[in-house]
Amino acid sequence: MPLDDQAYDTLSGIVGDPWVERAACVLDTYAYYQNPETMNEDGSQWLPRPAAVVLPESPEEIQEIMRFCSKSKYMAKPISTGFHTAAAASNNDTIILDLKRMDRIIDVDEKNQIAVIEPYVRAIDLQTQLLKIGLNCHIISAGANHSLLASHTAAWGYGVTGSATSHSGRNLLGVEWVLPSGDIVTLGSAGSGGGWFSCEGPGPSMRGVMRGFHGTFGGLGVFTKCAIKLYKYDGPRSWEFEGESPNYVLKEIPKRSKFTAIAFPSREAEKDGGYKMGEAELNYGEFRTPMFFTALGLTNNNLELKEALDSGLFPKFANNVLSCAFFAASDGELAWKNKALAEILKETNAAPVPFNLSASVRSLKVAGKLLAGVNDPLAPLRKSPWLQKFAESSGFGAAQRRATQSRLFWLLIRNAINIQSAFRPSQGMATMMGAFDTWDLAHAQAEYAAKAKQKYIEQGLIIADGGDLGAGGTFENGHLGYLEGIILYDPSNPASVEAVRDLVEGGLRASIDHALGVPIAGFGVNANKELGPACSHYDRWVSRLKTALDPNTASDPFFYAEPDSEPKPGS
Amino acid sequence: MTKQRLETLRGEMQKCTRCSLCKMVPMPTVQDAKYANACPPVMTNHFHAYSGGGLQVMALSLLDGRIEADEDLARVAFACTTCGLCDVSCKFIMEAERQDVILALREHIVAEGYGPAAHEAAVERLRTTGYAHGAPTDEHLGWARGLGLKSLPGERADVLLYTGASAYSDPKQARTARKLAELLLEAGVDVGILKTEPDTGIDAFWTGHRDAFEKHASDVCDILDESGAKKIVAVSGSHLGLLRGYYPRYARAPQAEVLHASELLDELTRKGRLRLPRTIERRVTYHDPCYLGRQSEPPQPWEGEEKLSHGVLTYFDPPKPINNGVRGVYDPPRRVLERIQGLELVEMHRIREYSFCCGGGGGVPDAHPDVAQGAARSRVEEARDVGAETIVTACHRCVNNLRTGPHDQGMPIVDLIDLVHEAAGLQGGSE
Amino acid sequence: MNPSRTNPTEVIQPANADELRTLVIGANQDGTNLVVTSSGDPHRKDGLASAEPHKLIDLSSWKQIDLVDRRNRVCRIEPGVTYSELLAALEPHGMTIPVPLTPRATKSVLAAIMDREPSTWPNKQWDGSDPIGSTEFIFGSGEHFRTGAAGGPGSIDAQRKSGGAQKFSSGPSHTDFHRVLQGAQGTMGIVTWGTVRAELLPSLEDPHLVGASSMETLVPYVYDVQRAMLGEHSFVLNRQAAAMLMASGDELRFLSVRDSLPAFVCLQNIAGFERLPDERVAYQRRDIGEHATRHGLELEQALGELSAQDLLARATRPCTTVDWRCECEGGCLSVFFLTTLDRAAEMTQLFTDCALEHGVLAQDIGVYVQPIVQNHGCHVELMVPYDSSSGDAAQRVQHLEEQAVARLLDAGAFFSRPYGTADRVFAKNPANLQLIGQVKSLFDPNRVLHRGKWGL
Repeated sequence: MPLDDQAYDTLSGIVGDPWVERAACVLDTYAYYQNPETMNEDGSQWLPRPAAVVLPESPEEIQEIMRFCSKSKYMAKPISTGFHTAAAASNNDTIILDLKRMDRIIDVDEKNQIAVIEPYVRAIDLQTQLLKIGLNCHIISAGANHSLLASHTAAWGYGVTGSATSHSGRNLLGVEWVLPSGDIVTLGSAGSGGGWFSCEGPGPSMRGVMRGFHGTFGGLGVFTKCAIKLYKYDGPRSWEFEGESPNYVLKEIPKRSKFTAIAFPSREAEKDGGYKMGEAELNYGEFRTPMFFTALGLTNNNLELKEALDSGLFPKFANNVLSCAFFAASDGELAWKNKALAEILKETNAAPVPFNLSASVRSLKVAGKLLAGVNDPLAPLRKSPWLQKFAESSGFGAAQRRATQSRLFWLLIRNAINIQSAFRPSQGMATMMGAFDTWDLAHAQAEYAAKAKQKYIEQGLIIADGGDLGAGGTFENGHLGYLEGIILYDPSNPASVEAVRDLVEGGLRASIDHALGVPIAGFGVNANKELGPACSHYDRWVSRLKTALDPNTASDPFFYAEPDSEPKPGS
Repeated sequence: MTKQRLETLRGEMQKCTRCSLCKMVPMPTVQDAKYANACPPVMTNHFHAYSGGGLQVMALSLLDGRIEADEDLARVAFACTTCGLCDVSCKFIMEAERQDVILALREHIVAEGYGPAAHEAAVERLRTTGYAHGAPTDEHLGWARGLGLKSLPGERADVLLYTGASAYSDPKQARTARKLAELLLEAGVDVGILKTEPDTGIDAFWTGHRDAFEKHASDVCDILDESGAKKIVAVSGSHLGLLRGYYPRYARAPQAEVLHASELLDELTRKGRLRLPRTIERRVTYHDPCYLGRQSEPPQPWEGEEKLSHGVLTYFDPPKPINNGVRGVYDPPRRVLERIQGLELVEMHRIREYSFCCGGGGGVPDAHPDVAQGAARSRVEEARDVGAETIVTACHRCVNNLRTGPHDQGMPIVDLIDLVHEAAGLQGGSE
Repeated sequence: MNPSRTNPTEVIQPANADELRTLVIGANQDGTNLVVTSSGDPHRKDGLASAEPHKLIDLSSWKQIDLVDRRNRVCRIEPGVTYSELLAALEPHGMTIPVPLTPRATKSVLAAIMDREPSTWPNKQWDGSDPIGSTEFIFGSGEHFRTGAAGGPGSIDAQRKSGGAQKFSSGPSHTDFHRVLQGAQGTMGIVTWGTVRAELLPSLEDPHLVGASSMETLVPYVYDVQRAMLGEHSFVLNRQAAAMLMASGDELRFLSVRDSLPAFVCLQNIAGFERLPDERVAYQRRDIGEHATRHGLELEQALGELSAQDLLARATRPCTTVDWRCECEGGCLSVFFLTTLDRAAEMTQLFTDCALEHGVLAQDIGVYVQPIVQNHGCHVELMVPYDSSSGDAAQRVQHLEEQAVARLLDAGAFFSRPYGTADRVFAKNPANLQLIGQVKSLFDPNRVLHRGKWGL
């Protein structure tokens, strides 16, 4: 039901008339997110229509709204940039707090490498400013259009520069948090007036209840400000590009850089390569690029993609590809990194994918025919460092090489062509597995997902991508690894949607049965019920926290936890 | 009827993944975060509903029977300037038609009787007099007096100079048109004008009055065809967009080749037929008008079907040409500017196919002046930030909207034609 | 130095986690107050001090190191494992761990990590909670929990079989409870084991010293090198602290080292690992050297009587059971807090001014500045050695501590690990303390863990 008049007056009194909407048409734009049909039992594309959408401008306004929700039937659900279905209201009594008006970059402390931001600062906004001063932030692969505060405080995701910029949940240096009660608490050093450099303490760190691997997705108050860790960036501080949509090409490939896609001869070699590159502290950006994504990344439209797949070329060389980027601050560093990479390529019998050839439909057809009888088209490159060097530096195919390297720059550094591109093939993308731990575990998950998908590929219900769309990379110089299993499906085909649901649910069960970690989709009320008993009964603890911190359910619990129905601890 | 048309676009709506890229320029082009935003109504109103994606979702909601056309839907849908940048941004990653949905949604709202009152008067005038801004008087018709231009169709000329009746209603535009005529005459172009030229009907087009526009556009084509000219030169970018981009879809394309003034001036200066001897020491930036740029792409007829391969991979067979904005008129005005001695052209951040709207389109200055002025303010700031002393553009709507309000703060905003006229050292421009 | 402390009524050494859990459950029933320790004596920071009657649970005999995983660079240890023991266990596998500045021999690795003690290897610390991986612990309620990847699903064996190594610290799902336990000084739960992130053992080390007449001169250099993530172990000592560290209680040695040094010294280790170590060291030495030169500084292998090699060796290895700070005079006031590097000098000066008011000369104050979390902040430790046998001296430094902490708090020093009078930091953020209280009431509803600490 739309907001009643009294509630409308209250909210208008808090944020001002223009910033409260209860018109059905506006509300419906907050009832539709990324591929909602997989969430709904009936396959509908609509999620619950919220009671209202409110656009607050300050923590104080949010504080008043939370107090209002604590005393009324309404619940609040904050969103920043939106996108994922977890941004949706769980029922019609939820008031969406769209934080778009809170979009200030409050501070960039260049010296201490800290940025303090509000909720609607998109990654592209901050990163554009940062790169100019040789700094960068971790950006999840949802793309640079996402809210940095959301991924750091309330949500999750992995980013392709994780090898050098860690992970959003681990990069928090401070949080301003409006609790469900309306109280405002600032965690860490900022809360004690010391500046935004540490989120831990004093004493026990409450950061441990404000988020975990998964965030609270708006289920436990509202995060209104956060400080995030910035990292060095030795890439170009400015660049020029040419060309036109969708092919914007860097005029020059940055100096002291490497943009490459390394094709490993086997999964084992790929795993070893990931560990070795991590230990060498080589990569700045890294993205495991399965065969299908390699083809997708080299084509401009689905027809080209189809031709690329039909050519039969890609499975011959691109089953185990890591797309990588690194920079160096000095010639010495560059030389060392190049030498280390060459050693790793040799040790793993890997080769860089030559970027010299066009991926046009015509050339793919020709190449497919020419190489029809060749099982390992990269064999000559594997054997010959000279040939590798030729492919990377000769005039042959230089323009095409620059175009592909540019794509890697947009992908790995700017996060400008990431996940959205994955919607192009079939307009539907879902994901399964995706637990953080080791690079080996990441591959175990990807392998499970690939096998599970085969049945549905054979039935033609999801894209025949070879099964393996294990996407991710290593983190913190190889200390951690992450791969999720992407599924590309047809949202308008109920059978396809059902297949996705089966896969995601099957993935969750497999995670439990085969100890494959908590999946990326393993959050919220429903997942907690299934995962909790297998995971230290965390479900009980989040429910207890929900009960203690939100006794009147002022925050929409659905994507976090329902209040406790268990006996109180220690009783 | 309008709902049926929307229904044919359901698949396009469903391709929205709510990623909000429609609110931004294509991300690789972002060089200054201050100018990453792309959508005037979202920049002012902030609710997602106002975005290209929001409009897709509301259209889908309407088709699904969740909402009906009403004042609220009209309020939101008509805050859009129909600039088409969301369409370009989305197509950077998705084969989807955003602009088609937006236009069809607005047409449906109007058909249901909820078009903004602020648009009604102009459309009614168009219906009754053929002119959205009122039928011209003798005084208006005299904008070219004394130039010796041929009068078509009584006389014959290679080139028809066409102001889309803007010279009748906008004295400034009349002066600009007069300057263009002088330039063409100087270059020896065989040029004429219509004794009474018709309105392009743009006010009906972009306010969702499809029926009125279709009929009007068809009549205009008849008149233009009767002129016998081989080329029609549009003085304003908005009119080029309509004639080249939308007449073929809603009515038909005129028989003559349609050019924008900048294209002809580019050709004339390149060939040396028009010389620009006068030095103009000025640092200028060029604002790409939406309807001269991305919206002027002619439709690319395609007959085929969307097929599936590799399971559910969709593709178009035969290949479907996509209008992603890149075939608009971008280089000719820039080349002309580069030929003016002493002039320094500095580019803004949002240019060419991802140019930012001035806020003057879609009837927005009438229905949502705050949106129109907000956009203009952002554009003028951008020009200032890149160090420009003058904004040059090529559309009278842009000139007018950028100049409206306190935001221009003295930033000169000139039409390309005015600047070329000055560089050519011609006297005149007025009677 | 807490006058209201009471001695434990009993010291209990449970044999395993089950016994420990039984103890905690029993405490919930009979109201016993439990204080936990994993390190052997002495406990210089007095973290075990409790004003209320309590039983001391001593886990220092829990010594198992049951996983050393070279491929994933991780190990799993019990609370009683000391730095010496762990370093020795890791070395054959070509690994090591970041170590706090010269930990005492009985220092528990897990205790130090769970207390967020800074390590001397700042660019290996990505997150304030590092290098902890997963943990197993028992809540004050007696319930059992595993954090991080170990949290499940599946048994530890099953996880290892799948390729996991319980290395990720976050989770399970919405929880990050290891952070709640860190810094809690035993008030929230008792850790029974934890995995620790290991690093490759340098195969070649080329340590240097960078000397300067003031901290302000050194700071820009440290910023540049840390930002670039160049080098390995790094920290700053003033000459007093460097001499305290290197003297091992030998007063003559102390004086000769101190007098031979510039006012401040930065240790800058450069290392090569398994891959191309010589070339790595060579380019890094060149790049770091250029940073030093740009700031008018030089990389030296020794300064005065201090060699970089000796300092590195001393700093990254445990000392005796006596904390190095106390080796010279028996006692040492140690005021430590976090700030950013650009404020370290200002905070030091503030302390120095305060100390002077209490009769302590600037030259007698040791200063240790340790960049943490890849230099996004720094640990500042200000030390005043005193004769522990003298009641007057102890009283003097106690007054100094109280006053200095108050002034430093006002100036923005962040006492993230509040010991002693530093617990007044909680008053600076009452909302946070209230939240801690709410969480405490869930984790330890009957207040059996270190009851009364910080008013909880």
